[in-house]
Amino acid sequence: MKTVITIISALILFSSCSKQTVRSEFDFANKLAQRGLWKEANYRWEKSLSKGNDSASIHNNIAISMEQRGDLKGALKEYKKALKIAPGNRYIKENLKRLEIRIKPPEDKKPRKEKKK
Amino acid sequence: MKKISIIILILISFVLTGCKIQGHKIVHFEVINKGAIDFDKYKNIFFEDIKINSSVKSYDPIPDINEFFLEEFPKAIKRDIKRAEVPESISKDPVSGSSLIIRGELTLKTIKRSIIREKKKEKKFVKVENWEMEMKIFFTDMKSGKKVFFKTLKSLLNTADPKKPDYNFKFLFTKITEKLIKGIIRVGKTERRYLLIK
Repeated sequence: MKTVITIISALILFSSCSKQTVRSEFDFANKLAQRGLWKEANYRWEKSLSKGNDSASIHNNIAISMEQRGDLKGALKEYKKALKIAPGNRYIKENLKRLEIRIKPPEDKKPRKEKKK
Repeated sequence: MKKISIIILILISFVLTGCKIQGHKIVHFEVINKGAIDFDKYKNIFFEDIKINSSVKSYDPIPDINEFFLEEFPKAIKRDIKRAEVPESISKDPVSGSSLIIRGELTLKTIKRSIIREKKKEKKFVKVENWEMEMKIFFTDMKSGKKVFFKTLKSLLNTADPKKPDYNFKFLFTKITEKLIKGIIRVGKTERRYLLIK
C-alpha cells in the first residue's frame, strides 16, 4: 500500500513539475511582453506551443506580438485560433475587435441633411 | 495512513493552485498606420490645380487653396510640393517619371434663407446662408497615369453670415483639409491589448 501511495505522490509531483516548466516559460514570455520585448516573448510562446501546450492564451498572445510587428493577417488567424479554443473569452473578442478596426477603420460619418422647413 | 492522505491532499491542492486562472494584463504598443499613399515612392510631387465651381463671387478662394497645397500639406506629409504650371511638360520629362500630381475640383454652393433671431427681446428676420463645400481630390501617378488616391470630401455650414464669406470659406476649407490629411498621412498610435496570463 505504501509503495502505491509513494508512486502516486511521485507521479503528481512529476506532472506538476513538467507543467511548471511549460508554465514558467509562458510566464516568463508574458513578463518579457509586458516590458516590450515582443520578439523574445514570441519565441518563448512559440516554444511552449511546440511542446504541445496549445492554449487560447498562447494564441492570443502570439497574435498581439504579430500585431505589434505589423503582421495583421497572421494576428487575425491567431486570434481566431484562440477563439476556437475559448469561444467565450471576452478579452480575446475585444482584441480581435480592435484588430479588425485597425484593418478596416470605420468610415467617416456622412454629414446630416438639414430638414427643410 | 491518515498522514499519507493529508500529504496527498496537500500535494493535489498545490498542483491545483498552480493551474488557477489568473486573468489578464493590459499591454500597449506603438504602431504606425500605413498611409493611403506611399509618398516615398515618388521623386517629385506636383500640385497642378483645383478647379473651382463657386456661386460665391465675393470671395476668391485660390490663395487659400494654394497656401494649403504648397505650404501646409507639404508639412503634413513631410515632402516638398512644387507648383506644376504646365503639366504636359512634366509628363514628357524623363526625370519626373516617378512623380505624383495633385488635381481636384472644389464646388461651393450657398442657399439663402431667413431665420428668426431674438435680439434684445425683439424677434427679427435675419438673412443667413447655408454653405456646402465639396472637394474631389485626385493623386495621379504620372508614370502609369493611374489615380493612386481619390476622395470626395464634404463640409457643411448652416446659418452662415453672408457678410463674412472669407470666414465661411475658411471654416469649410479647414474642415475639409483636416479630413484629407487624416485620410492620407501615416499616424503613430498606441494600441492597447489584453495579454492573457492564464
